[in-house]
Amino acid sequence: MPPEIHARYFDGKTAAAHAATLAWGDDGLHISAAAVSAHWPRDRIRRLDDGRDAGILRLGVASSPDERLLLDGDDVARLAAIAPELFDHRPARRAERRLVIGLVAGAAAVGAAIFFGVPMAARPLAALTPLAMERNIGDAIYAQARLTFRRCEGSQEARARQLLNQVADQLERHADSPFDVNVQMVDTFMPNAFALPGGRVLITDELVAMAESPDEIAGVLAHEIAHVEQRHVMQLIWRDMGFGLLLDAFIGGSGVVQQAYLASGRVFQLRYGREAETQADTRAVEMMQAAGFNPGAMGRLFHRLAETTGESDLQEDQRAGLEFLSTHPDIVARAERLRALDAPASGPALSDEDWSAVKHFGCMNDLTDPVAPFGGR
Amino acid sequence: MNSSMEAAQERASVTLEQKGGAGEFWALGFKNWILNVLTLTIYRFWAKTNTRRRLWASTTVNGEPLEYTGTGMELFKGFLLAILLFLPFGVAIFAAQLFLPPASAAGALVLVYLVLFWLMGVAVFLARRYQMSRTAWRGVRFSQHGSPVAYGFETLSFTLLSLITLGWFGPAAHMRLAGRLWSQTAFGDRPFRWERPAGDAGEPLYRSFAVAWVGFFLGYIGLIVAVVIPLAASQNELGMDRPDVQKLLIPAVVTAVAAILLSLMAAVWHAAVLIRCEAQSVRLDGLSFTLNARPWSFLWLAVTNALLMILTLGIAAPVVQLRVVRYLVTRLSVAGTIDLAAVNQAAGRGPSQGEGLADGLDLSGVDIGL
Repeated sequence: MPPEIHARYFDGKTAAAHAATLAWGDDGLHISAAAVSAHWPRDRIRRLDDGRDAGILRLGVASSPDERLLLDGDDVARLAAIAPELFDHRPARRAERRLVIGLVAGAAAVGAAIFFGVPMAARPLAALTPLAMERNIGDAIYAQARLTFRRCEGSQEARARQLLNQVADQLERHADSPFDVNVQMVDTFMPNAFALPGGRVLITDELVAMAESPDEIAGVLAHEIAHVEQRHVMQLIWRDMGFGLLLDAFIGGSGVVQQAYLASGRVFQLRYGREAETQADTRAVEMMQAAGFNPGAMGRLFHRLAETTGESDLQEDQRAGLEFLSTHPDIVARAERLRALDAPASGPALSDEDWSAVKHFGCMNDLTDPVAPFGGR
Repeated sequence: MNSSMEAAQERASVTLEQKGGAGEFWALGFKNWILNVLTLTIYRFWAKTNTRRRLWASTTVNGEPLEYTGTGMELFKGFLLAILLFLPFGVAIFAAQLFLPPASAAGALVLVYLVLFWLMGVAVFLARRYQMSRTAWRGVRFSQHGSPVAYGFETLSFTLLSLITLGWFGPAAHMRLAGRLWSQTAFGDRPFRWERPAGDAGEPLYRSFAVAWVGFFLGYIGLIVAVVIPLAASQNELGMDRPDVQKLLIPAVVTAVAAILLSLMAAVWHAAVLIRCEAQSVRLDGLSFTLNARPWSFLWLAVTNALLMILTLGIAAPVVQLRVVRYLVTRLSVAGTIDLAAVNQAAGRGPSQGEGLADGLDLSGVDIGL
C-alpha cells in the first residue's frame, strides 16, 4: 500500500477548503474528503500550475472547470511517482511551438501585405480615384495650407502668376496630366514648391527670388507638373492611409518594439516618396527638352538650394545617411545629374522683360498686400 | 451532506504574500520580447497572459495562490474585434482630414477626442471586467458588474470637469470612478463595498493635491521661464552669442531641472496618497485594507521601474510588473475576517474575449490592483 496522497480540494461551488486524499487508477483520480468526493477522468485532468512560483501544484479538470486540487511538498512527489503523465511537459511545449510558428508565419504575411502590398496598391488606387474626389481633396488641403502661408495678391502678382502659368501651359502640352495645372505663388520663408492633388501647384516667393533664369523656374514647374501627371500625391495619400491604419492597428503594446516597427514603417514610406521624386525629375527633363527649354537649369537651382542648406558641404556618405531619413533624394546628386544635361535651349522660357516681372515680384514688395506686417510700404 | 454547513466555522483572517523570483521573470521577459519582435508584436497577447499567470500564481492568499485563467487567444479575439471597430473609425478620421474644410475638420477632431475619452473609460471598464472574470482563488471567480457605457460617460464628464476646474476635480473624480468600479466588484457571490472612512480615520485627499498642484504650477512656470526666455533670445536679433544671453542659460537649465524634479515629487506624493485612500475605502465581507505606500518608496519604485524599462528596451516588463505587485502585496495589510465557506461561486463566466479596446487605445497599464 503506497503512502496516502493528501491534497486540498475545492469543489468550484464555494470557497471552502476540503482536506482530501487522492487515489490514482486507470480511470483517473479519485478525490475523497469528509463531506465531498469527486472523480476526475484520466484524460480530462490538466496541470494548471507546475508550482515553480509558490511551490504549489495546481490541477483542474476540463469536465468541471472550476474544481481545483492543490498539492505541495512530498505529496507532489508521491503523485508524480504513480501518475507521471500528469507531469509531462511535452504536450504544452508542442502546443506553444505550434502557436509561435503560426504567429511568426501570420506576422510575416501581414508584414509583407503592409510593407509591400500597400505601396504596390497605391499606384493603381491613385489611378482609380475619381478626378472629382482628388480635386476635392486638393481643395481641402489647400484650405488647410492657407492657414500656414498666405497667398500672394495684387496686380503685380496677377501678372507674375499669369506668366508662370504660361510657362506651365507650354510644359503641360508635353505631359499627359488628367488635371489642368494651376500655378499660384505663396508667401512663406522657405524656398520650395508643392504639387497638391487636383493640379494646384504652389511656388513660394523665396524660390522665385532664388532663381536666376526663367528656365530654372520652368524646371521646378516641370517637376511639379510631373507629380500632378503621375498623381503622386494621391499615391502618397493612399500609402499614408494604408501604412497609418494597418500598421497602427496591428502594432501595439511593448513600448520600444512597437515604436521601432512604426518608425520603420515611416522610413519605408520615405523610400517610395524618393522614388516618386526621382521619377518626377526624369519626367521633368523630358518635358523641358520637348518644350525646348534647358533641362540643366534645374540643376543650377538645386545646387544653389543645397548651398543654402549646407548640404553641399557634406561628404557623400554623410548625405547618403541623411537621404535614408528624408523625403527627397540627395539634392547634391540630383543637381549634378541635372547639370550634366545642360544644353543650349531653343530660347528662354520667358523673355527678359517677362522674367523681370516675375523675378521682381515678391509678396513683401507688393504694395497692395492686405496683410503685410507693417500695413504695406 | 451540506459542505458549507460543515465548514461554517471557517472564519478566517487574510494574509497576502508574493513569492515570485526575479530570475524567472527576467527569463519570461526575454522570451516575450524576442517573440514580440519576431511576430510584429502580435505575440503580445500571449506574453501578457503568460506574465499574468506567473504573477497571479506567485501571489498567495493564506498560502494558496491566486489563479489567472485567461488565455492569449481570448485577448487576440478581443484585438480582432477592436480592429473591426477602429478601422472604420480610422478611415473616417482620415477622410475628415482630407475632405473637410479646416474649421469643420477641427470640429470633427474635437468630436473624435470626446468619443476617444468616452471609449477610454469603456475600455478601462471592459479590461477590468475581463481580468476580474479571469481571476480566481480557491476555485471561486471574481467579477465586475455594471455598465461599461455608463462608466465611459462618467469618465468623459469627469475629465471635462477636471479640465474646467484646472484639475481640482481630479482627486474626487479618481475616487468616484474607483468607487464605482469596486462597489460593483465581487468575489464569488460576495460583493466588495466602497466606504470612505469618515472624519479623521480617512486620509485627507486634497492636502497633498494642493501641494502637488502648486508644485506643478510653479514647475510649469519655471519651465516656461527656463525654456522660453533663452529660446526667444535666440530667435530675435539679440542672438545666442551675446554674453548676457549666455549668462541666462545656466540658471535657466538649473531652474528647469529643479522645476521638473519638484513637480514630479509632488505628483508622486499625491499619487501615493490616492492609492492609500483607495485601499482604505475598499471592504469585502468583514475585511478592510490598509496600504502602507509611502512617498519615498513609491518614488523609488516609479523611478527604478522607468529606468529598468528604458535601459532594457522593454525586456524587463514582467520584472517591472512583479516589482509593482510585490510592493503592493508587502505593503497591504488586511484587517478583520471573512467566512470563506459561505462564499459561493456566482453564475456567469464573464466575456469570452477581452481587452481589445484597451489594446487598441494603447492602455497597456490597465492591470487590476489587488
